[in-house]
Amino acid sequence: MSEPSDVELLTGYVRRRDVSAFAALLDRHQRDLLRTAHALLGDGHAAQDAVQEGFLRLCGESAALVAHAGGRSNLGGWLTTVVRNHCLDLLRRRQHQPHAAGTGDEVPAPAEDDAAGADEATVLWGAVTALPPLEQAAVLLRYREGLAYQEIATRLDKTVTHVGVLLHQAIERLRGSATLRQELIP
Amino acid sequence: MNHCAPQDPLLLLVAYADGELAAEARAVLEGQLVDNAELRDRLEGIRALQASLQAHLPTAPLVLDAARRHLVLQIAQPLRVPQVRRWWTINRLAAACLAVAMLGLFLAIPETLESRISATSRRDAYEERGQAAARRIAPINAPTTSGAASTPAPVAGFIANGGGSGGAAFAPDLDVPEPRSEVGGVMAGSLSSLHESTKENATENETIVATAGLEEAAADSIKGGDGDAGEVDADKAKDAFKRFRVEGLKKKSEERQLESSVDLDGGKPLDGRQTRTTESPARSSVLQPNQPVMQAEQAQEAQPVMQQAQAAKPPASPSPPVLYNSLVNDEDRQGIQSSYMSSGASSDLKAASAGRQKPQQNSLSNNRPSESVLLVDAVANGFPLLQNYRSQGWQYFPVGDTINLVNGSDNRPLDPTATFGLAKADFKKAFGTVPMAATADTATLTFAFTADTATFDRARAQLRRGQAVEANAIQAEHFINAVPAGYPAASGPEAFNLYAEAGPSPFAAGSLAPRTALVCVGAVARPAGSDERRPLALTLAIDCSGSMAQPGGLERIRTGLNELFARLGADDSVAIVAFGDRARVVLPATPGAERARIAAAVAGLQTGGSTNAAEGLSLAYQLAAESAKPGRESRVLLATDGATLTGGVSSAVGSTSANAAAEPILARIAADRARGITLIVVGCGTQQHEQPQQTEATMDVLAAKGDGQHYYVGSDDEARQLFSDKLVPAKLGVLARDAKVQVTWNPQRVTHARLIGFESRRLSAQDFRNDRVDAGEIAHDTQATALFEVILAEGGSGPLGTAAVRYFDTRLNQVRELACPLPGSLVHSRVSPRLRLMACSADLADLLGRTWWANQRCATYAGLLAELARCEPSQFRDQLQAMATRAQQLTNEP
Repeated sequence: MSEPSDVELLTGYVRRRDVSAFAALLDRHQRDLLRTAHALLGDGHAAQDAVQEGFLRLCGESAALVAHAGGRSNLGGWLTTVVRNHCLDLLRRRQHQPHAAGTGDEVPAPAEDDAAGADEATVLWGAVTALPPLEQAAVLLRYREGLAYQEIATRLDKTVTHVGVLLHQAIERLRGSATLRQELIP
Repeated sequence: MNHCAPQDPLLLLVAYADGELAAEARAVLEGQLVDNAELRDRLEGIRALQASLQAHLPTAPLVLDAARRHLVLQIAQPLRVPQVRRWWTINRLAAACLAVAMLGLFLAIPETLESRISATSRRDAYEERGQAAARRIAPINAPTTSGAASTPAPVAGFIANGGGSGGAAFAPDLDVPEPRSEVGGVMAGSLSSLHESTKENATENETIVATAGLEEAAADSIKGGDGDAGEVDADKAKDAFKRFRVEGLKKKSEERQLESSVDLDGGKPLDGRQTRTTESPARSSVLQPNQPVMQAEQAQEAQPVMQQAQAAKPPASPSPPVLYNSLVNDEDRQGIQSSYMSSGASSDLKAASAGRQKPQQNSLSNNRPSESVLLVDAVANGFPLLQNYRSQGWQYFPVGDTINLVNGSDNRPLDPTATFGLAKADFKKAFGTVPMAATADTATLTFAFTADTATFDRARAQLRRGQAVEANAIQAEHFINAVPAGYPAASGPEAFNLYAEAGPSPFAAGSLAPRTALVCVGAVARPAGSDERRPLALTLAIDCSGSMAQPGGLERIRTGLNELFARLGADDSVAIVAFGDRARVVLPATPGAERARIAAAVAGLQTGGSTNAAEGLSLAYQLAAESAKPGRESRVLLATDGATLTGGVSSAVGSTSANAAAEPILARIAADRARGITLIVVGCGTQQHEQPQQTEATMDVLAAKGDGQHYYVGSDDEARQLFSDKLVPAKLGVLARDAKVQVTWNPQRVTHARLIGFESRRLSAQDFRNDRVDAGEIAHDTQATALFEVILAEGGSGPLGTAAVRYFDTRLNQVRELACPLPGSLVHSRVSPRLRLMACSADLADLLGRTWWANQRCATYAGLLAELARCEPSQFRDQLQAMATRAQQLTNEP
């Protein structure tokens, strides 16, 4: 009773115009894609946009994908690549528009009082979003999603060693971050 | 496994802390760590930072929001329109001629016959839905049938005939290719005119339009057509419902007969009514068992005391349809709006089902529903009464696999006894819970007892991290058991002391609120006497997969286990199995006296790989079986973060398709249970599971199969507490196996009753005395509580009823049964602090689980917090407050 593979579903969508098969593909992959996009962009709405874009591309290229499926059965990698590239394009554009929202260029000033937990979360998030995008993505995929280095490497299209370096740099940067040192690190 | 080449140790610390360093590099670094204090400090700093990252990073969205999902699927639609080909046009002409001819033919047939045919064919299709239903309908597109709008009845006849081979042959020909936008426009036009002409046939036409080319949709649309209580369909629907009710009543009467043979009063052949009206002298809340000891055989022979149940009462007339909307979070709200509210104030099922089958360009019908919405419609279609509510302006919204009813404009609570005329099974199907039973119909409530608190522990940890709690994973009984009830310690010869108390329900709502009471029945298991404690043979199955490397994983389990090891007796023994990709024996059975060796083995565990829990468990069970000796308590303790259990364990119990690979281990667990080897599952880890419900269910099923307990440790303190308080060798001995509770209510005093929680642990009344039925396990020195919500009879008097506990006493090796009256004097006019705290915890479970009951009484986090403020200050009260506050923020409750 195995589930149909991605390519089988897509074939069903192309050949039988079975939109429910497309919906099944969407349901199957949206979670991982959203996590990857959110890790890269640090922004829920932008991540949703990126994933939407990914599925629209899938819809548009479904016929070609089915025709050239070859031995491939899983579309996760293809979708991840599309979504990741979309995110990276977006990040590049943001760099040219320094005032675009959500870049997290500056760490928000820590609140004065409030509950310690909320504070800590805010400060940490501020520091993490201030990291370079790839380091931010690696940190989020590792410590929020709990992915292994290998899996992070696949998601970001880097080598495992590169992921190790990214995380090392990110952690060093976070430890060096003035606000964090003040707030969290005794 | 890995990855970073050996180099400057400073560069490797992060990978080391993540457990991702290759073995050689790790060994080198560990050597350096021993010598270099600065390096150790740095590692500590990195670990601390990683831990706070894990604890505090906000969660990512997990699903595409409804609007975007809808948009994507909308854009995916046009593919359904085939390329226009010339020869199809010719065929279309031919088909149109044929259709006209057939229309003429059917016009001549008397209308009654047509109706009958259509109804029959649709009933057939309804019953066979899910199979190849498409051949029963000839897909026709709107333009070709638009001429039929004025004479719709024959179309119905035509479809009916389409069930034959002739109809099927037309299908491809009639699938008229049209550019999509045009089709939409024409369809919209024809639909409105159809609506005005004849209702049921309009639906018929929509259905036809919508089904073009979609097999499943064809089946669904038939279903949808059924629900539309037009003139033709009404009979059919009534029939189905009547049939359904009759079956329900039959079942009920069978149940009653079985229940009538149940005796709860110590085997004395007494008249049931007498027993019920006899006021017990016991006025204290501590109940001594009445005729405490009873052998199973006696029980079987005891004469029935229950009166033959009275004739079934007609279903209570539904109260005014009012509910509220406050539990709906933003996503759901969006879902409702796009699925229903936008489909017009008419709240007409037709509108919804038409929109469902045939997404239009029109922004008003943004209703591409999820599976649960289909379920909603299915339920609604089966049950005309629910539909009535719909026509009165009610909305449904899906919660997990079930639905809730809301009336967005009004926030008045509903009486808890409202059943909408649904039979028990269908109420359960619709709302995921059992309706409050009228005691005149069903006086007994039977269920498997448990002392577990796992879903409470997990929800607490998730909320602390700011993660959303999966509604379906919540089990209210865990929340009630989590309340430190503070019952007096058990005394006397029996394994249990039973306690009961009752008071007004702080959260009661609706017109019955003044008569609503909470009844709590608690059991305290006696501690093991010094001569009773048997040596423990513990086999640890420890998850050493990669994900356990994170803080809160293996480290936390180590912390807890060290507490356990410190309490080992010299006669106890411990064996350790570690599993990642493969399972291996780390430590063969070692006496508890060699504590250092055991601790060293756990300290030396390394992480990496996937989670092959099936292999780990089966190796642990093998080891446990080898070291099992009579007179020993044999336990397998599985510690895992449950992330992506491989090896089949997860899929076997979590999904519908049982994985053959996991069958052996489940069978083994069940078989070894009979030999006295039971399972304890300790969950840990900070990550959000891919499928929290499934993981939770997996662990729960494992624990239940293994007659065991299921815990979750969300912090190091909790780990220490669990292993120093609950999972200590002295308490690991199972005192009562297969513990079941049966409460029989006195209809003169209690008119309606429901058990809070225990949804998956309900038993049928006759299973109470069936000792082969697997039920709950209670360990030494633990307590378990069941909470009931009851409606007291107006001006009623006499006892509330009787509570009985039946279990296999492991000390005496025999089945025991304790029965206690629940005297009427239990009901106090004021609610006790303990009961109030339990009510609050149960209310939180309802809110987090977004259950029907929360909806019924319009529960809100604000209301819960107000009630918590009235509770006596305690550590547990503060915990509940923190959880409710965090959950309130997460759901954006105003």
